[in-house]
Amino acid sequence: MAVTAKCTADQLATELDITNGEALTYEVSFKGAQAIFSIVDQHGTIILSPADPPISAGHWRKRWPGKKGDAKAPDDLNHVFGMHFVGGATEYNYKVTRRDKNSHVIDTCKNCKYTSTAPDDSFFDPLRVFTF
Amino acid sequence: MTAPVYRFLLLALLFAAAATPCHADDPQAVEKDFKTWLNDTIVNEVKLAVSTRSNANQSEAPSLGGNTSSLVDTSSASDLIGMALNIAGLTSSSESDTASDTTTATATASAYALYSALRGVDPLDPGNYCGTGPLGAARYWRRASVTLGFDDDTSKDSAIIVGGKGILWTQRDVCSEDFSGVQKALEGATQRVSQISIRIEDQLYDLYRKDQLGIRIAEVDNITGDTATDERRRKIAFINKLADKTVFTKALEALGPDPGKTFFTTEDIDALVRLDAAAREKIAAFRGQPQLSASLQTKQRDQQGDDYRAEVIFDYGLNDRLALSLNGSYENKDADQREQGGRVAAAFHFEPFTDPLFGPKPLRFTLSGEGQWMEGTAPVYKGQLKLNLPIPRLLWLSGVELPLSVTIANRSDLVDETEVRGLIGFTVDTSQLLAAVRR
Repeated sequence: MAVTAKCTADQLATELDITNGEALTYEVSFKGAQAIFSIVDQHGTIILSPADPPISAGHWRKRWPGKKGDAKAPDDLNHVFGMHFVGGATEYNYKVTRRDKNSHVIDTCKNCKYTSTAPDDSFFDPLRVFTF
Repeated sequence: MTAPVYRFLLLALLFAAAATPCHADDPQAVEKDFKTWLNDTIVNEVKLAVSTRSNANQSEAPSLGGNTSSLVDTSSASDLIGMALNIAGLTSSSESDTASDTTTATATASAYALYSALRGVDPLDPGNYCGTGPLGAARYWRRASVTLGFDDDTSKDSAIIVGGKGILWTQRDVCSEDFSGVQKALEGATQRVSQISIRIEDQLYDLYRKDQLGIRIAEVDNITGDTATDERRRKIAFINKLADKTVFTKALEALGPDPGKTFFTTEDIDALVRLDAAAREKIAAFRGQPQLSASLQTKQRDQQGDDYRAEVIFDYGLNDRLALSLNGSYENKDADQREQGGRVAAAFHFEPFTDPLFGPKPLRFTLSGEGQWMEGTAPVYKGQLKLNLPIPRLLWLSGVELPLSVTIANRSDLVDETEVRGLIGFTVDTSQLLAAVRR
């Protein structure tokens, strides 16, 4: 049984003016028993995973870049959200917003819900990020 | 045309519907956007071949029901609510004094589902599901379930079925399982998917710039200028346009007949296979864990006496496709005459297909046998072959399956001949249905 994706925003690429303090906010939540997910770039850098402290049960949020040195400009990165349903999860919600230095939302890059009832299912959602 | 003939025609239609694939597995057979194509290609490349469904979640009516398709009970119930309907049997016999003239309908709810409903909280909220929220130790609430139903017997006194089941011992707790191996493998696979995705997007953009893609995109071409900013914005506009099914399908044609082979390296496939293997190993280990439960079922009748069954149920996974269920029970029946005795039953559950072709529930064969020894009557022996037929690839029917069974019994207590009867049923596992409805 394939994963079903429903998105109200679903960009595959975005630019990010990190020299002027822009950042992406990644948010992941899920339904079920255990979440197995990761947001990873092509170099293997983990942006967000269940190892990060959740803001509430089953809900994670992280700003990227979080601190100076997390990103360089210009750069071409591909942040892929990978998820697996083997841990008894039935639904993942994924939201990515581009924000200015005052944390005001400029743009919603991703706002997707992924569902599956088959524990062998996995799914990957890419977002190309061009920093400058 | 007789009623059994109608039933067989219905059965044939259901089989035909189940056997008809809803779409081809070829990832390029229909128009897809980039993300869908990428994920379908990953599945095809790796050939996910894991049979993952729990073989111990019983959504059918308990075996005490007069016309249930369950000869042997399994140790779990649905996580939330399970409903079952077994209609009168497919029998060519006109003999009416058999259980096959009975329609059995039951609903089973876990204590967790009932408590969640009473509290008005989402049972699938992770804070509740794994027991750190207001439901407290939810994993323990899920171990208890209650069943309510009825036997509507056209020839005898109809009965209300009441039952309860509790898992006494289990090592199948998804909340306390360690999935760190799968998590690690997922991180490696996600990095590889990131690299694959870049390769495809860059190759397509390069072809577009050389005008070799066979399409022009206004959103890209309208960004003029030669600065690095202009070039970056053109590329972003192009990549975002790959979310358009028509554009991506057209662009894909430029990559040749098998783009998966072009862009997936051996290392990529290895990482994805490692993820598949890690998940498969975890699922097999989980399903193989033993589980012991106890249940009490009763049939309450208006005029005749009542039946009681106290039962111990043991499940064990022999491998990732084969599982064993054992039942031992004390029986107290008072329908026609009071009799007590014991019953032993065993079943092998076999899932022949590892590909998830048939939907969220697996196609499952069950071969079972039962012996019943009641005081004052000759022993009764039954054998059963059952097919649990899931509804394939229909989202709104997730969790629905049709149990079809054929039972052979010596029936020496009723007639001096061997009886063969067939049953069709209808079961719903609402935990899967609820997940589908949320989509």
